Amino acid sequence: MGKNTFSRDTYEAATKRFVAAEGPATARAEQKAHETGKLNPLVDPAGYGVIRRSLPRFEKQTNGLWLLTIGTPMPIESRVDTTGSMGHNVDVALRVLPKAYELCSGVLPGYDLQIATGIFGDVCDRFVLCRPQFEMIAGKIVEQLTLMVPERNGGDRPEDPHYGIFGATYLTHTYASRIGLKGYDFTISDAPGRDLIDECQLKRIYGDEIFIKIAENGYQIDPHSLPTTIDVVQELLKRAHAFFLQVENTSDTTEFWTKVFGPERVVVLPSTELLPQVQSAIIGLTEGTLNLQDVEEFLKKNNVSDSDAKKIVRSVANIPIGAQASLPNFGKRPKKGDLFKEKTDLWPIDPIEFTTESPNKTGVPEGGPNWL
Amino acid sequence: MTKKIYTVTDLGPGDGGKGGVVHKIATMMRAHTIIKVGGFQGSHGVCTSRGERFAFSQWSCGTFEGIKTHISSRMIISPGGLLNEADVLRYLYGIHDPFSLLTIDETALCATPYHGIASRIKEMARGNNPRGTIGTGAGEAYRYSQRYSHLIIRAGDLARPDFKDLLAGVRTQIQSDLSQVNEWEFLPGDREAVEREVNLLNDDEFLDHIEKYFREAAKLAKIVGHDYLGREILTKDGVAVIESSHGVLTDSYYGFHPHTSAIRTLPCFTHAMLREAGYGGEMVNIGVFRAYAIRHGAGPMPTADPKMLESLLPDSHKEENRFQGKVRVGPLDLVQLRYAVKVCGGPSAFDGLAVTWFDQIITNGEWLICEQYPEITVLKFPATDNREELFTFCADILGEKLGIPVRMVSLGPTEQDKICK
Repeated sequence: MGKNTFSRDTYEAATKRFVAAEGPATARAEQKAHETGKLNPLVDPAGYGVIRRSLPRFEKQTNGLWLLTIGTPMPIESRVDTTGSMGHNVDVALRVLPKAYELCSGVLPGYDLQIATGIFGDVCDRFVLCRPQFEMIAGKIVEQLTLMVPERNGGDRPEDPHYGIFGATYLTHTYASRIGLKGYDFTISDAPGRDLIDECQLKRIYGDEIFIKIAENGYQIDPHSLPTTIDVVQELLKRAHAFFLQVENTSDTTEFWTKVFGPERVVVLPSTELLPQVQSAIIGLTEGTLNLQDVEEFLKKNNVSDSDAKKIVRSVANIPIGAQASLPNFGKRPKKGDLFKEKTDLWPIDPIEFTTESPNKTGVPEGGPNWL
Repeated sequence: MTKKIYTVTDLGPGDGGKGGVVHKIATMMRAHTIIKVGGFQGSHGVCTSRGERFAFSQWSCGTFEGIKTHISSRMIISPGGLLNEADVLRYLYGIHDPFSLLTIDETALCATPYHGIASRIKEMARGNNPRGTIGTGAGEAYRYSQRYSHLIIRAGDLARPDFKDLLAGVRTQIQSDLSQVNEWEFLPGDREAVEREVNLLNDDEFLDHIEKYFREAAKLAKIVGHDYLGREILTKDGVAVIESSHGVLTDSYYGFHPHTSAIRTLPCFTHAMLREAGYGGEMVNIGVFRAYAIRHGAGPMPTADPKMLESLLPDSHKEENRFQGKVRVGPLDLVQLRYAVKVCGGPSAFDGLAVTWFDQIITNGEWLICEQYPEITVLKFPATDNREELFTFCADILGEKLGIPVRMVSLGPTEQDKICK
């Protein structure tokens, strides 16, 4: 249900509506959080049932079938460092959002892009993580960005994005992974992280029911034997193409995240302003919609300087190119207009089946309309 | 194609299982629209065979099936609540644009948080003799609309330039009505809550907040003219279902005073609305009740038996809240059921009965029925788990005792567990 997508016009309208004329985009949310000590449930990792969902959009047809309105939902989750010098990153993410959507949708043709861009801080901050819902329309994405509460002045080294990665791994339900495809996950920071995950922090961030929710989502985690950050990322890689995008070239950062993600998944990000270009280059290469030899031109065409483009190309040359395209179900993914018997079905019905089956098998409920 | 409307009426004091019955009928008959009447405080639970489970408030019980909801002129709405419910549907259930499934009659009455505050304070002032309310303000909004016509807020008013003045007028009237609140007596445990309510009532920022949310709801919702029901919905071929809140036993006239709703809950009022909208097609009237008696909130319940709580409501719905108190259950009360049927016009006013939660009775192995107070008859089940036989067993007994054929028996939570004949 629903078929709207992102557009520049709706983005402009949303920024007018949600962003104050002066000050940072998150000013109102920061003030509210200061007064209440709480995050808005839309971006509170514990809000709306904790689990984040990326689901297909359907419209019920008069014949009882469900029509896929846009395409296979493709989740892109990002968590951006907003500690210390990166405190302005929400404003940057907001500014580059139209570019991000346009470039990503260009390399993800036929998909229904569902974006969740959150922020992370440090365990000593008031809010370690703001985790939004997956969204596909400008109004909701902009609204959620303005509800973030960055710490700005806080943050030490290392930082704590691993709590966000934990949620991405165990508290995310996506249709893409159900059909054997993978979504995209990006962690953006200039600092190293930590190796260990703490139960108390998990409960503080995701609420006391976190382990119940993890189980509801199909995972079993023993609170007394929590996975390490490396374990979490390894699990995440089963359902997402996950990358660490490194801002600034500091060796301890590179060393830590290379150990966690592997060298092929740590990609240079010259500045957060270039997030759309780097993300879309990675996605395009992974999907097979962009060739490595075309990346430099693609970047330059999209306002990346020569030197930054060369840096990015060197960095993305090592990622698992074509990883999505090589998945067995890649070519079978449902497309706009496909019909499903039930909205929870994995696959659409075969059009041949639809035209030849008896009415009962195409959605007419048993008992028929002869009751009373 | 024919035009047919199913009216689903709770023959008890509410909590009869209307949600599942509406969902079943709408799914089975492929309804194009579900028309809501009553108040938003009704929480109608739906559990689908796909695993979805939600208590609907303003969207109808057919929402998971992509069925449209029309909020009629006979529904009291909470504009702020619409936004909350929409977000839950969007983020927990993947209904990405729930407002595309909703139309609201411009004349639907709006309850405001101020009505809720008034309702809760008045109920707390009744101390240990509650009237029985959920405290959301739906009934209070209705009572205020009867008393102060100039303070009525309808859905069509939400986009008015002077809407804030209207809202402020409601607040001023409630402030005036509660001006002596400091002199009222409250239970010691309620005093802090009363103070919080009064502070909220007097908080100017809260007024701004309400205005903002109400306007937002007005932007997102499709608010349609009063003639939309007759012009667009009732002229469609196929089936529509009326989903009403409350139960006959809380009807403002025929209910047991003072434990009544502010509104009329009898199906004849819904029929009048349909006739007024020009509907001349077929109507099917279904009466709904649980296979045992239940009441959540104050009010007479002669068969209430605290000992049956665990066996009838294992692990569910036993939470107590300040305004409704504990859920009470007991043997099926045929005296109250016959009364409910009678005030609706007698057995001929219904085409069929839907009996819910019969599976719980089967699990317990015996069915307790009260034909006249205080006698309780214990019925033993036939030794079978054949669904058809269980249906027949239930249908034969109730059909004979109430004079209305049983057409649906619920043997479990989902639509697939509801046997229709």
